[in-house]
Amino acid sequence: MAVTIPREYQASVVANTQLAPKIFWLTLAPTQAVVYVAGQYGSILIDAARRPLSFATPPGGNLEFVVDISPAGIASQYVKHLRVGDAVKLLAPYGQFVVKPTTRPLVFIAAGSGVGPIRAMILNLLNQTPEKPITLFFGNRAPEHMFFLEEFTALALRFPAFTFIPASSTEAAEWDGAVGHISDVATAHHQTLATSEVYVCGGPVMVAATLAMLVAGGVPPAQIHTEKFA
Amino acid sequence: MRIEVKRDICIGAATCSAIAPDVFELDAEMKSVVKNATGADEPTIIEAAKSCPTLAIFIYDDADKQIFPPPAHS
Repeated sequence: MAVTIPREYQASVVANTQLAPKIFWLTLAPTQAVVYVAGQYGSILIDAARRPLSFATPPGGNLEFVVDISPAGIASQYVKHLRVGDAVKLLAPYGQFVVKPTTRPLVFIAAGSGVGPIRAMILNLLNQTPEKPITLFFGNRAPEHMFFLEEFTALALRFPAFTFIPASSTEAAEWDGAVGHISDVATAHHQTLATSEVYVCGGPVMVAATLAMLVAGGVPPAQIHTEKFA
Repeated sequence: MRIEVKRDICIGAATCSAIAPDVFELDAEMKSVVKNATGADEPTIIEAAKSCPTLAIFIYDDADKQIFPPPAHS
């Protein structure tokens, strides 16, 4: 995909909700439609700094972001304190982490806030090609850190070709789903990875570990697409 | 003019190389590197730096004074 030269947009905060102990769900209303492809990201202008945030919703309408505030850096502090009505500036679009045309089934592997761009991709796919086989493996450190469970579970019920497998890295009495690091869960549960197009998004360690496991498991590197969140 | 790409900040967006392909390119680690600091005029190079989503490109004039990002005034 050719690189698009980003431009500046103005937006205002519509909502800023805490979904989990370290996850905020930020909604912005842009003053004009922002041009991007599902999977891409924008760069939020924070005083003299800039921080990338992936769009978690397909283009058209409000902008939504899944923000991990645990790094406690500039972006985390900025997002955490945003209130409805606040003005936000951003540059967009950026990134090459988009769904490539393919006839293969799609597998998405996400950890924590890495689900953001993947959510945008999946919602776009379900709208355009609802019969295409899609599997989402979504991992979080513990049940209390999980989010979007109801949404993805409802989508799996509505779209028979969509399979949703959440996982907790740690065991918990209240959790009867998959347990383990999401890279282990994905490679253990999915028998057809080698013939799928795989998209991975999460922290650097998770992405590196998942990539290594996928390649070791026989998935051709050309069929693996990754996005690392700092 | 001196151009420096901060590798620890660069996330490989590649807008710099899209704007100034004769100046910037991505290396094997998908980080931007300067291949020819004179590969474009100054306005183009500054535009490339401005397009960076993380402000990883620093530009210094011939006196080695930082001209982009604009230095903070004390």
